[in-house]
Amino acid sequence: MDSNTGGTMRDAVQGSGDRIFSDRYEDSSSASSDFALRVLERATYGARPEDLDHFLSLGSNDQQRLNAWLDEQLDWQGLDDSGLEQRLAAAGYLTLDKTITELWADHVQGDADRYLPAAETEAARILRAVYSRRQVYEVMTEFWHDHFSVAGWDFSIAPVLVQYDRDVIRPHALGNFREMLEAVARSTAMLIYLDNKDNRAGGYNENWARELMELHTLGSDAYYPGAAHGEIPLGDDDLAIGYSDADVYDVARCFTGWTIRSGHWEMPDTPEYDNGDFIFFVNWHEGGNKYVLGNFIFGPTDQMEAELAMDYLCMHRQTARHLCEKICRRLVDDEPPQSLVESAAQVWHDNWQAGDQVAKVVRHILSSADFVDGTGTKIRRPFELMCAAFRKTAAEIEPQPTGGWDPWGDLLYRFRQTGHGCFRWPSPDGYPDTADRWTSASVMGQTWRLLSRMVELDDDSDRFLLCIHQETVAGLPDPAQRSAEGLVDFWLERLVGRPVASGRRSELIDFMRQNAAADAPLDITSGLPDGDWNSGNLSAHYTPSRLRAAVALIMMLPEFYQR
Amino acid sequence: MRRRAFLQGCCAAALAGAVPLTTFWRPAAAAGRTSNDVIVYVFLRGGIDGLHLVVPYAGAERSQYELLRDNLAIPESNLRQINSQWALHPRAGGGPGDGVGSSPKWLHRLWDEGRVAIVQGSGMPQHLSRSHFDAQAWIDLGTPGDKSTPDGWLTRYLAVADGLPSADIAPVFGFADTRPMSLMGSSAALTVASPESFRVDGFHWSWNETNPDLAGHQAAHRRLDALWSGGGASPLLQAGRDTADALEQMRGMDFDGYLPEGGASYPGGTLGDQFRSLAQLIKQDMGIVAATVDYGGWDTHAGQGVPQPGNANHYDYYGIRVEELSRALDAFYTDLSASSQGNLMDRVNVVVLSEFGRKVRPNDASGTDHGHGNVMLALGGRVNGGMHGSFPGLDAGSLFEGQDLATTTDYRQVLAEALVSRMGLAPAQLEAVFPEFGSYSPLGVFSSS
Repeated sequence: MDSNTGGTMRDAVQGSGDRIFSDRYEDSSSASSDFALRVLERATYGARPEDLDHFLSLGSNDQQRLNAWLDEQLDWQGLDDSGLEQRLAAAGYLTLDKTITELWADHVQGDADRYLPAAETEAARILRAVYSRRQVYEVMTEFWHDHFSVAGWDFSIAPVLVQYDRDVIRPHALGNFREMLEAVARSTAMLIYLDNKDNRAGGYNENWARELMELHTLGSDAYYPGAAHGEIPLGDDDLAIGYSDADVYDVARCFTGWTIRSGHWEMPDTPEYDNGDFIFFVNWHEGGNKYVLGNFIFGPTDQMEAELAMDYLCMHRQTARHLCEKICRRLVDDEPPQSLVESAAQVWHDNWQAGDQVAKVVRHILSSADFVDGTGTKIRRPFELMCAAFRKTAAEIEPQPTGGWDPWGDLLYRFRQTGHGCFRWPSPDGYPDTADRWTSASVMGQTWRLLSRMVELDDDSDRFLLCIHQETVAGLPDPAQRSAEGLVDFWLERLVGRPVASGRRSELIDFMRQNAAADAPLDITSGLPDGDWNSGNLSAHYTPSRLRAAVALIMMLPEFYQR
Repeated sequence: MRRRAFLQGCCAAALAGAVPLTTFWRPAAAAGRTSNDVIVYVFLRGGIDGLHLVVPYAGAERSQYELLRDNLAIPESNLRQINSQWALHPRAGGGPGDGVGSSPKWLHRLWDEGRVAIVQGSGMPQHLSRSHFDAQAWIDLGTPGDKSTPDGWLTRYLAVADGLPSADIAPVFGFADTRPMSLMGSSAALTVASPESFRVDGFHWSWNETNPDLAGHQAAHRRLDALWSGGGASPLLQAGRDTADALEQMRGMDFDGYLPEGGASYPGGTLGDQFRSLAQLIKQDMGIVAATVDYGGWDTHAGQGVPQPGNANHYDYYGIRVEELSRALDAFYTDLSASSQGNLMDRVNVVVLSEFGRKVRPNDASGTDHGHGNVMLALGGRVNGGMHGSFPGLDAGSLFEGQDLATTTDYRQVLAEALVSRMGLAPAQLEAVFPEFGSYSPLGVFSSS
């Protein structure tokens, strides 16, 4: 089924044979649609009716359908995404195709807005999460941005964030970790962010080397503070089972000279030494022996020393465990089962040189009993709540980078206040991925504030971003169906898809009906877009606006938080 | 007004049995509530270079400092001298255009008034990590060496302290986007980055605010509480209910219209805004006993900067941050100490710390890498101003691992003293707040009277 635009959804809704909308959800919650919903809610940015239909069309039992769906999603390049490409092209972004040297010339050295590349990367990220058919790929892209987090709106990094997203993270999101790490280590953004651009002989800078081992590869569980070289035992792969400060210092020395063409006064005074691209500047490389994870860096010299150090880190079992625990946490549960982490780590380790290493690991995790049985719980973080709200209301959006008081300025400001703005986490450990870090009153209150606004935002042509009215009319074509009860149930089905606590449903119906009976039809079409004042009869007081508010309230339900 | 979740501070099962609910009511305090102290825990995220803030000014340490600090050493002529041996970074007491001889402002002024304590050589003596994340987690959790502790030290304090007042909104406010680890496991803490925008206010105007002229009309946000009711007591549901409660109560407060007292002038920016809101909350006398404030940007691996006081055009990254911090602390102190309700700083205790100090030697990028020992600050009307603890020394024999300042005072001693001297904790209860922290030996940073 082609589901690359919101348009097909409306066709599906209108079709009388459509499973989701021909019945009340209580009647249609068969085990297979539950399974489809669970998989899609967990592994994508939100299950839409056409996504559920498509999943259910892929085979004759859950296992077959899941396998076929994974085949499709993990072969991401084979999945036609022309609908998204058209939207990206139509949005008219200016910086997303610029090379690193163009970004540098225009946005660092030139007069172009320094923050535009970051702003457009954020806009495109929202567009992709909402419309791309490559949903697992987009989920993993977000994962890797969190894993190799940079402060994307930093004065120095914002101009080059386009390169980081396009050339560093995205090509490898379902590919090979060693290749991604290579790209990260050479990326202008990371070289700036963790200061390796300043790491040079005689005064090395350990920042990158430390985070490389602690956050990006081995993990702090493998950190032996205070241990000297040779004190940490070797594993059966002849690599030390962990690292110490001594390893950090020597890995930092391996990376001396990995820098950017920044026009530094010690570099030749020619334009090609000031174009922002990666360079191994041999003059800054510190010679001499290095000892990393219990092994001398013998043989290779210069730039190859760091390459060998990265090989050690990527083939290490601790890296496999650390990375697989994080991926399992993203896809399965805040505290993923250790057995799943271990089995995924084995797949990771066995395939550390395979081109589809990450895809293999993701398949392993998404096919596991732990995932299929749906025992874990995850909640949507603010970005995921926002994207699910867009997807499930058939939103027609074209996010624009802006700092002003247009709808996108308003929306992105409120989104930022949730504490989950794209590329805005300040420290290199990336956004947290456990519920306890996203359930503070601040995050929840600001997220509700955002959702309350999303339903009201309209574009220059006074079209609402969320198609609440159109979807309601299409889904409930007979005005007699549009009672408070009918409206609330329609949107509960569309947004949540599972039964919600009955007290919550009644509260929503009470808000929608006001002084009318729950089964009395409400007029949602008079006085569009907002409705009319009616002080004597609140059930007719700004009813279209009240419907939008009710939809926003559904997006604030605990059931909508469940991923 | 419901006080449901806010009466007790902790959901850690291990502690639940030790916390009789009745102890949260203290009749004397519940009547006026003004008798309770407040602790403000300011975390300078990223590892502030304490040696760049409190700088050796004379003697052997000065010579050793100049030798090791090399091009990052601040010349004596660019420092604000505070006693025979020590000086402050100039931006702690003046703007970039103010020479060091100009009359002291901000933190320097408060030091001169005896309201600031500096604790030398503070940090984690027995457990070493040069990782930001481990060190921050250990400090916030109060359990150096163990970051699997399920709750933060402030969470445990709230759970075991006797006689805490009842709180209208929350007994502890975390000023941050996401909950700081010092408040991990707390169902009572309210984490907000900015209180004035903490309202669900985006609906169409017709349903955004309750219209009292329309009989039976109720704004949409009023439904949130019921929408999170029922369904058990999962952490998510509890958090949603607390959020709905807090939203309703904060909606009634006028943050934009708040006027600081005593001529206090908060610096623009998040830090100043947060301190201003905190002062307002404390003046509202609504049972707040603790607050956390985070101020980041101290990870100065490159371009840390050497100040040039008197040169208004000189860019000094570190100095800008020192100035913002100093101005915010000064405004907060002034606002509360000159309050029409009396000198509220007599019951407000500010502690400032960071996860570790930085290397004594600069790196090749005019920055400093992660180190070990550091300074802590305390500020308040009941703080014994002056130098505390002992400076660990810059000579080769004293440096930790030959490169960092050593640690001579466990940071928990300072926090423990604040809790015991000011916050009503019995010494015997310290073990519950800081497990395995050893013997309590207060430095005299806080007055107990």
